[in-house]
Amino acid sequence: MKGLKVMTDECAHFSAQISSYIDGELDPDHIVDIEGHALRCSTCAERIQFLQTMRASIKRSSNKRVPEAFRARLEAAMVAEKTRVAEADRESFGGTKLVSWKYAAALAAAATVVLSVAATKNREDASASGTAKAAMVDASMGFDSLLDELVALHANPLPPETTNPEELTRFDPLVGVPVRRPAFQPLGANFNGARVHAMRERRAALLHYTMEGNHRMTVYVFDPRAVVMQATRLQTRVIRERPVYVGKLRGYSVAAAEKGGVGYALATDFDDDRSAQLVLTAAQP
Amino acid sequence: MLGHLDTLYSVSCRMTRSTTEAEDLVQDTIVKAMRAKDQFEPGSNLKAWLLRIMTNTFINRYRRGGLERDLIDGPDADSLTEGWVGATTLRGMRDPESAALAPLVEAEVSRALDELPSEFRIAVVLSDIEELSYKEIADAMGCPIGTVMSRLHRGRKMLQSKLRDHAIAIGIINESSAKKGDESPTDLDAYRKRRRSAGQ
Repeated sequence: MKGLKVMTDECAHFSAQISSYIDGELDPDHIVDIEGHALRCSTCAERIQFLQTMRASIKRSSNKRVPEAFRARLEAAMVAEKTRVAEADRESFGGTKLVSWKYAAALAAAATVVLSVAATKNREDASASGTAKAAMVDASMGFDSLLDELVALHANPLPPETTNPEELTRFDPLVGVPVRRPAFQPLGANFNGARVHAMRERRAALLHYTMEGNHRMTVYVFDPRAVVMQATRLQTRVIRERPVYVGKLRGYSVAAAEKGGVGYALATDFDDDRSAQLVLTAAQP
Repeated sequence: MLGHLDTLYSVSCRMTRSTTEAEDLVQDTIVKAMRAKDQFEPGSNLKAWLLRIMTNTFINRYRRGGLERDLIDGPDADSLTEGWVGATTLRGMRDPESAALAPLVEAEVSRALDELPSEFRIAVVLSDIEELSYKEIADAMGCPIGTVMSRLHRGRKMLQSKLRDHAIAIGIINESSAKKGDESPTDLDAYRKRRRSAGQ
């Protein structure tokens, strides 16, 4: 302690750097200087040691795990947020003030990330930035690729995961929107089964029907915020004051519409008028 | 994003000093992050980005108008070199065997942290718990790096003083020996007085 007085000026100089030193923010030259000083000065050595100890103690005392009840509430809030965005999109959908597509694409990217993150929440942090990247690629793929996928799956159907229409609700958390059985029964359509289809990071429910003999119909139920419904190859019609996208792709008739934040697209071998009517039936509340 | 939930919650508890408010803050942060997802640069530090949103939200919503920025960073902020607790006292608060704080002192760390003015507390929490860099803390708090350094430095000195007062109160260290040496008195109370008078 006798040496303390001699050291005072030097201590004052290094005292200002101790915090930066223990935080690892000091450059190498200064590290050499301060460590050299600490060898000679027990006061500063003790300060450094104490701060390091306190730092560790603060970290130790602060680590908490999220309560499970809160985690569940949070996941519900995330779904609510997605629904809110969907509602906002829907309101501007048919009106004159269409959402800026750039903005919509950003929302779609956000929604897609959440969708995929919800399913991969146990993965390592390393994948988090990768997921964000994938989402941006995804959003730019857009509606056109969704329709291509739909037509391909209509042309070459994959085996169903379930043939029980009551089990459709278990697809809800995977798709991110409620998957409800479209009210096709009055039209005499037979439900042949459904599966969840993953397209990159995105999922949609795929429902297969046959009606009027051997006419097949494939219905795609998806989250319209993950895929902005922007017709580039389909014609936009307004039927009963609702926008419907209709057109021919690879010889099949394709129609798409949105209702209450849920997107529906279907592929049939009927004509376009019939497909348009069917998709509106599917998109009934 | 959900992979960082425990991180966000831990920091949020420290910021808000209440588990209820901490949950609200985490929820707000997640929802904001969902809305601003396109602003995240792929490849950058997701945790730091989320913590930045959270810090902003906390400062804007929970401490609206209540930040002591002017006073803290103003000319009457104390010198960087004053206000240290003496080495003998510091040594007395550590457990020589385990190289940790003495158990009774460690038990007081949470309370001492809670008593720090929020801007100091945020800086210390982001640095000590999450080990963000000074640059990342500066981005999160919306202030220059120099300000972060001074807040950390002064925040830690206040913590030491708090812990010393506690150690004296429970008799781990001797008051008269603690008052000797090179330390100046705790500046937290003086700081609060200044803040109150400046606020009027």
